[in-house]
Amino acid sequence: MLEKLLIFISSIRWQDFIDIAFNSYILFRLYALFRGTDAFRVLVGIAFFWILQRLAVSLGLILTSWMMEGIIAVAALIVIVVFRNEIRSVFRARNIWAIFWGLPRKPMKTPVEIITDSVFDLAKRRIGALMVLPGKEDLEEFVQQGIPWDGRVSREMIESIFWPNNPVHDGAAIIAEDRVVQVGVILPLSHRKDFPSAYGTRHRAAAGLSETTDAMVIVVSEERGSIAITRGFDVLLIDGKKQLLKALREHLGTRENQSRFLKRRKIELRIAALVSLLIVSGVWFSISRGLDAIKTFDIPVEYANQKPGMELLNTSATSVRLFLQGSRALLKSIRPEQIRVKMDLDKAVAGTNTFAITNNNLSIPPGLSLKEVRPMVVDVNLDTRSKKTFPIQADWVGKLHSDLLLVRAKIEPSKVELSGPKTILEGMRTLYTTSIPLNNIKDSGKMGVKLVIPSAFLNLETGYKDTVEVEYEVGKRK
Amino acid sequence: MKRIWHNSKLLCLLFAVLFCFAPSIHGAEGDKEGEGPPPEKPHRLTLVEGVMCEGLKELEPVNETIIFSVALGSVICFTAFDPVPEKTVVHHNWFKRDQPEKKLKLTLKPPKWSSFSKIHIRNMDVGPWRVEITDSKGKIFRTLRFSVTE
Repeated sequence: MLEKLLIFISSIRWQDFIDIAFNSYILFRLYALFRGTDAFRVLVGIAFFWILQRLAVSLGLILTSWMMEGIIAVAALIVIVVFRNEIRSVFRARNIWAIFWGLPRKPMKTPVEIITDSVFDLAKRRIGALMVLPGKEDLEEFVQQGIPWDGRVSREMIESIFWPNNPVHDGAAIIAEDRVVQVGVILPLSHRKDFPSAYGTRHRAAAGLSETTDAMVIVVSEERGSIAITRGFDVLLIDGKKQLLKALREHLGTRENQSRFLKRRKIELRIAALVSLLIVSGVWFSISRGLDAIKTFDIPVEYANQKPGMELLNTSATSVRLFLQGSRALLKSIRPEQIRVKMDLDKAVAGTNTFAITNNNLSIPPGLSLKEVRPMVVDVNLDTRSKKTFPIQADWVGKLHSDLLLVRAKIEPSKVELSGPKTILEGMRTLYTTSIPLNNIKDSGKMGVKLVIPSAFLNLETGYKDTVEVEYEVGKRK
Repeated sequence: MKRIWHNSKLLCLLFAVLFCFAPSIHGAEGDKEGEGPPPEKPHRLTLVEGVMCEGLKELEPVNETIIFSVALGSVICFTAFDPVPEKTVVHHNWFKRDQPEKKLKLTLKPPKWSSFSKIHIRNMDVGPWRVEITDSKGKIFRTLRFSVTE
């Protein structure tokens, strides 16, 4: 048992470690990037359906497996369409390396207390304000004309942004985490007909954005000094600081104990990394190390690198049957095009060459091993190229009229030169025309007749055509 | 002259015995006198006539042709040499589509000699044929080409 284990461990290549590590990392990155999004939850659901489908297949539940397969196909499409915003926001990272390397940023605590104090301060002074706190969706499609700000949130900054003499005070400010990212932003107006008439354009703009996205918008009325928040289709009037704080915390998901949260998150990521490694290792071992099945493949043999001037005449095998061993899953996924049998003819000489088919001649996907090959050897006949001139002879067929004689025939040109493998050329003495029927010949005449080139390896040399002219003389029988 | 004619008859008999099986070659040889004295004769063995024919009449080829119907039954290759400086042999090598079918040795005697070889043809012999006329060393004097048809 221990010996088997040692043999197994020693058979693992360095490429296999890279294979496992790379794919584990990809899986972990996908988790890290999409964690917490709805898309991730749906992906987990799809994975669950896939497991069910495989189970249904193994149990022979035909209808169930078909249905699961259909659900997976549709779900994959739905994920791309429905969660395009999440996917886009992941891949629209400022730094491309953040996708491959950086860990998800530590959540910055949005200073809800500062925002609350500022809002009530503005309301007290009857300074109108519009503050957007984005949810998970990207707002770029819905807002216009924002001016990048990127300032840390503070009471003074918020008050100065909405100060009546500030050129951007009429627009909205977008606050993400602890920074004011854009100011002077134009929000889409709500087109609701039941919108209370008491609310002005500022409220309608706030509702317009929250109706179309998952953002929360805080509105401070310039006329009444009232505070309202909009979320979804709701417009909520705020009576006190506690109410606003609660709403903000709910929306931002701000946790009271940030350090405990971060610690938990760190452990969670480590577990995710370990689980990724275990999943990929399990899949890898089951696919590439399983030796539970043998499958045969009939693969055409490729002959390459023959010396210049050499011609491949024939081979004892145009294809070979390979018995490949590996896991059932891997063998099932292999297509014959992925396997190649290549014979190198650079050392072959004129005549018959016998080559043994070994692993060196095979190109098979990793994880599979060659159990047997039939035939084990192939004979390859090679020859040097040569030229030879042949006389042409007419091939007359049929019956000439009994009173007539075909006295003579002259063929023009009387000879042609062919090039091709020496052995074939040496075995030939004459080149014949195609059959020339005699039945219709009554008088002397001439006709064009094609030549029969007896082998595909032979070619007419330059200057010779594959048609000759046969001039014949007909006489009377004595 | 009489002696040559006698020899020809003997050879005819010999070939009849040799090639009585079919397809086989029936040969005979005979003299064929030249018509008029040639201005200057070469001193080496020279083929002056070589034809494929359907028959012979008074040692002259009859119905020279390059097409022989199987119905005809036989093919004759007629050759005439002048001069024949010394007693020698020539060969009539019959080929069907480049495959040798028969090789016939014919003796020639000075001063000139005519000879022929004959094969019987059957349905299986249909196709292009040739006869190579060679000297004792294999040097080809002439190649005669013909076809056996239905």
